[in-house]
Amino acid sequence: MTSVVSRFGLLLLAATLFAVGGKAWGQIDGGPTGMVSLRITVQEFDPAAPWNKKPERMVQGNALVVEGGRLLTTANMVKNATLIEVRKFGRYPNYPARAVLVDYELDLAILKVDARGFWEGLKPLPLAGKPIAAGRFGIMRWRANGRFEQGSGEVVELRVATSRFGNLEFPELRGTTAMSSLGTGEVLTSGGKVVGLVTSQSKTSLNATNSPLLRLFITAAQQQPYRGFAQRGFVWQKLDHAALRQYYGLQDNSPGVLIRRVLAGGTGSGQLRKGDILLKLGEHVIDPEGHIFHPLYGPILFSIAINETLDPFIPAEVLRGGQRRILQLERKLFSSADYRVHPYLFDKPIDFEVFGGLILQELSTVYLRMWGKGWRVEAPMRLVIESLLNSLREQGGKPEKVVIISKILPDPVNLGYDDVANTILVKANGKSLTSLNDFRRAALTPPNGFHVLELNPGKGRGWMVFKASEIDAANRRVRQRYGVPQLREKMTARNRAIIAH
Amino acid sequence: MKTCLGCAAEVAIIQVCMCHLARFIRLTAIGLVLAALPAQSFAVKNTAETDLSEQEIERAVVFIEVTMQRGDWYSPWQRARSRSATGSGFILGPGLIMTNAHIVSDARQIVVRRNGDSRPYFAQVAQVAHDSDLALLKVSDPEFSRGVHPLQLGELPSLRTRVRTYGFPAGGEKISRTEGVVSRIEFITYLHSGADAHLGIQTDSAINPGNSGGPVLQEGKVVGVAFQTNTSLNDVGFFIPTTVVKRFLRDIEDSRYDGYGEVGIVTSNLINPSYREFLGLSDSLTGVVVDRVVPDTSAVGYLQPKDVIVAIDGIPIRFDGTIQYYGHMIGFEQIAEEKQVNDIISFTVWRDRAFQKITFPLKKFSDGRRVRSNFDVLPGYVVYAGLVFMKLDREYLKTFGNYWRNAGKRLLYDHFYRPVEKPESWAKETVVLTRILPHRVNSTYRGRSNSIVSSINGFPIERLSDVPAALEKGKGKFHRFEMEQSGIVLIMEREAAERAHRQILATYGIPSDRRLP
Repeated sequence: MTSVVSRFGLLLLAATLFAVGGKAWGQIDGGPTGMVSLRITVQEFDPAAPWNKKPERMVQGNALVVEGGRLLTTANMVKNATLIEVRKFGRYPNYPARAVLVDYELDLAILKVDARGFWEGLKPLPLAGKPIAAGRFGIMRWRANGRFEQGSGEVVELRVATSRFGNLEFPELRGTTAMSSLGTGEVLTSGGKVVGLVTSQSKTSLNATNSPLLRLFITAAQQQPYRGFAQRGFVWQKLDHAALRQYYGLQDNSPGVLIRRVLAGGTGSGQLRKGDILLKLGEHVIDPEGHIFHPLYGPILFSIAINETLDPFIPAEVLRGGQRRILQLERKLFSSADYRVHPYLFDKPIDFEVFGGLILQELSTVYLRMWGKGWRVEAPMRLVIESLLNSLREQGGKPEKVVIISKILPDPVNLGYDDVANTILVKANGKSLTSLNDFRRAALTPPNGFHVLELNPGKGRGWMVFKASEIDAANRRVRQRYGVPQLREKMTARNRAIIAH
Repeated sequence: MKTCLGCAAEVAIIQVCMCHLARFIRLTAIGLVLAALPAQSFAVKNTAETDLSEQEIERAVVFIEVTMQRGDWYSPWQRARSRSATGSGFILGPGLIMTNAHIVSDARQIVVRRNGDSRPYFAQVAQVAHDSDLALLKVSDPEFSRGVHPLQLGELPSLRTRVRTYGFPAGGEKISRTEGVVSRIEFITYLHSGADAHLGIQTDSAINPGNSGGPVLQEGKVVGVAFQTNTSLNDVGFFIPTTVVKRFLRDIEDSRYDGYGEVGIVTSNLINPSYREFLGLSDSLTGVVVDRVVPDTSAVGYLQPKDVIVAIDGIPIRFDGTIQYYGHMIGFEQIAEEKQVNDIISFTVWRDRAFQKITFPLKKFSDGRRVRSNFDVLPGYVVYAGLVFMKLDREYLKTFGNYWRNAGKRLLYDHFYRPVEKPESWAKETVVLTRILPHRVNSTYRGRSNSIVSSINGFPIERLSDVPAALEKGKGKFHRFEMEQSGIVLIMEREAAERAHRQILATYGIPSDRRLP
C-alpha cells in the first residue's frame, strides 16, 4: 500500500512540476486541477447487423472543469458510451460520470460526477471571452498514463465549420501543432485563460471550438429545456459580380447576398423567400461575399450570427421586391423530420426490420460510414448521392426517410433475390414508403396473399414477391439460422401507434 | 475504375485492354497520307484454307503500329497529344486485317508488318465497331497479301479445349505464341466502349499488352480475337468469339457498320417460386420477368413491365435467363446479339395469365453516344464570354481521371440515374458549364464550373445547340444563366460579355467558339 501511495505521490509531483516548470506559449497555471481525464467505454450498434453491437472499446480523452460542478468535453467522446469514468490528477480512483447533455451538432457535451469528494481539489479554469485570432496557444491534456502534458500550437485561421454530425455552422479555430493524437477534448490556452477545446486533428492540423461558444453552450445548458443551436434553413449565393448586383438592383457599395433556396426546416424557413437579398443578420451587415465583420471573430461568414445569442429570434433585414423589410427570424433547429437521411444515430439502437431474410433500415450516414473514411467514394453510389444531394427536406416537401434493403440473409423464401442489397425500396404492397413504419404498416395487408416489394428503378431487379403465408415460417428460420434475436428493433409505443393507425 | 493509356478505355473492375503503348518508330521512307476509304464491300468470303502449317499461320499474323490522337474533352477546341501504340492483327482476306477497334481508334497513321516480313505497309480503317471492339483494316498494296494464306474463322470452342494465342505482346516485333484452355464463355463488358456486353471467352492462355487484336486459334481456325484481361485474376485473358466477329462481318457487307439493335429491356431471373406463383406460372413454365422497358428502344410499345418472357425466337428461356446455345448455357440476349438492325425478333410472353407472341424490329440504341466511350469524334462545345458549355457524357466524366466517382454527385446522378429513375424530367443532352476561362467579365464565377445548366435567358437548355440559340434570343440588358444546383444564377451584362468574348478566344487560343454536331 505504501508503494502505491508513493507512486501516486510521484505522479502528482511530476504533473505539478510539469505544469509550473518552464511555461511555453500561452500555457497557464492550474491545468491539472482544471482538467480531468476521461476513460470511456463505447459500444456502437452494427449497421450491417443492427440487432448486434460491435465489440466495446475504450477511448481516452479530456474534459474541462466548469462552474456548477460540471465537466465539458466533446460530444464525439461520449457517443455510444456505455461507461464514462473520470480521473482527476491522472490517478486512481475512477469516478463514474454521466452525460447530462450531449449536442451532437455542436459536438459538445456536459458531464456530471455524483461521487462525493470528486470535486475536491478541482477548480474551473477561466474561459476567455474572446477567441484567439492569431499567434501561438498552449495545449494541455492528460495522457492515458496519468501524465499531464503541455505543448503549443499556432493559429491558422478562425473560420466557419459545419458540424461533423449534422448541418450546424459554427466558428472554429484551425491551428497547427507538432503534438499528435489530439482531438479528444484537449484544452487550448492563451493569456492565462482557456480559449478552446480540441475536437479533431488531421496530421499537424487541429480544429477547436472557441471559448465564446463554449461559454454560450454552458449557459444554454442551464436553461430548461435546452433549446440547442439553430441551423441555417436556406441556401444563399454571393452577389460579388457587378452584373449580378446590377441585375438585382443593387448599388456597387450595397451589401447583401441572394437567397437561392429555402428549406423545410432551420432558421429562415417559412420566412425568407427565394430571390430575397439578405442584407443584415443580427447587427451584422453582410457583404456581397457573405462575410460580416464580427467583433470577436473578425471577417467571417455571416451564418455564425444565427447562434450569436440564445434569443429565440434574430432580426434580419432583407430586400424583397425592391423594398427593405425587417424580419424576426425564428432560430429554428432541424428536426428529425427535416432530414431524409439520418445524419447520426448514436446512443440508441438502429431501427430495423427483418422480413423474409431482407434487412431493412432507413438510410443513415452511420450506415454509409461502414465503408470507411472514403465512404463518399467507396459506398454504393446511389446511396451516397441520396445522402449528399437529398439529405434535407425541401420546403413544402413531406417528411420522409429513405428505406433501404441493406442485406439479404439467404433463405428459401428469398431464393433468387440475392442481387438487391443496398437498394432503395420505394413501395410495399402498392404503397409508397416514406419510413420504415410505412413498410411495417403496408406489410400488414398483403393483397391477394402476396407481398410485392418495388425497388428503385435501375439496372437491376424491379420487384420482389413473397408469398404472405410463408413469411412467418421464413422469419422463424432466419432468426434461428442467423441468430437474429428479434425481427425488428423493439417497438416504441409511438411506433406501434403509427403502425396501428 | 482505371483508364488504359493505350486506348483510353475506362477499365471497370480491373480489366485492362491489351494494346501496348510504345514509342512510335518513325518510318521516313513511306508517305503519310491517310485518306478515307471509298465505299466498297468488305464481304469476307470463307475461302481460306484450313490445313495451314504453323509457319503459314504465323505469316498471317500482323504487327500493327498506330499513332493516335484523340479529342480533348477538357479543352474541347484542341486535340490531345498524339501517342503511339502497338497491337496485333491477322489477315482475313486479301489486303484485309482483323484487329481490335481499340488498337486503331482515333488513328492518325497505321503501319502494319507481316510476321517475317520487315517491310512496312500503310493501312486504313475500312470498318470499325467500337461497341464490339473490332476493326477491319485495308492494305491497298497487293504485295502485302502476296503468298499469305488468310486465316479461316471457326466456331465457338468448347469448354476445356485448348487454344493458341498469337501476337506481338509487350511491343516486341517477334511473334509470340502461347497456349491455354477455354475456361469460361459468358457475357462480359467490353471495356473499349465501357457500356456494351457481348459474349467473351476466358482463357488461361497468356494475353499480354500488345496481344490485342491477335488471333486465337484452335485446330488451324480462328476461334477468337484477343482483347482484354483481368488483372485481379492470375493468368486470365479474354478473347472475342467468332460469333461476334462473324456478326460484324455480316453487318459490314453493305459497306456500312450499323451496330447492334437493342431490345431495350431490363429483366430479372424467376428463380423464386413465390414470384412465379404470383405471376401464375406453372412449375413447367420458365422464363424471365421484365423489370423495365428502356425509353426510346425497340421494346417500347411491345413489351411491358411484369411480362414474363418464356421464349425468344422460339427458344425456351430458363428461370435464370439462359438458353441452350451450341452446347453452352448462355444468356438469352445472345439471340438478339446475332441479329442486325431492323431484323425481326420474336418473344413468347406470358402476360395477364395468357401467352402472347410479340414480334418487332430491332432498333439501334439512340443513347449510345452518351453512355459509351467516344472514338473518332471530336467533342462538341460552345464557349461564350469564357463560359465553356459541353454535354454530359462518358467522355466528359472521364476528364475527372481515374477517380471519376469524385465528379460532382449531381453530374453522376444525371448521367447514371436520372435517365432511369426520372426519364420524364431528363433532357436527352444534359448541358454542363464545364469550365470558366477567367476574365474580368466572369472573374467571380469560377467556382461554378461543373454545374448543370437549366436555362439561359429563360429558355430551357435541353441540348448543346440550345446554348447559342438562347444567347441570341435573349434581348435584355443581361444574360441570365441558371444552374440546376439549387438555382445558382450567373448574370452577365450583354454588351460587356460580347466585348470580352473575342478577347477571351484570343487569350486562351480558341480558334472557334463552338463545335456543334
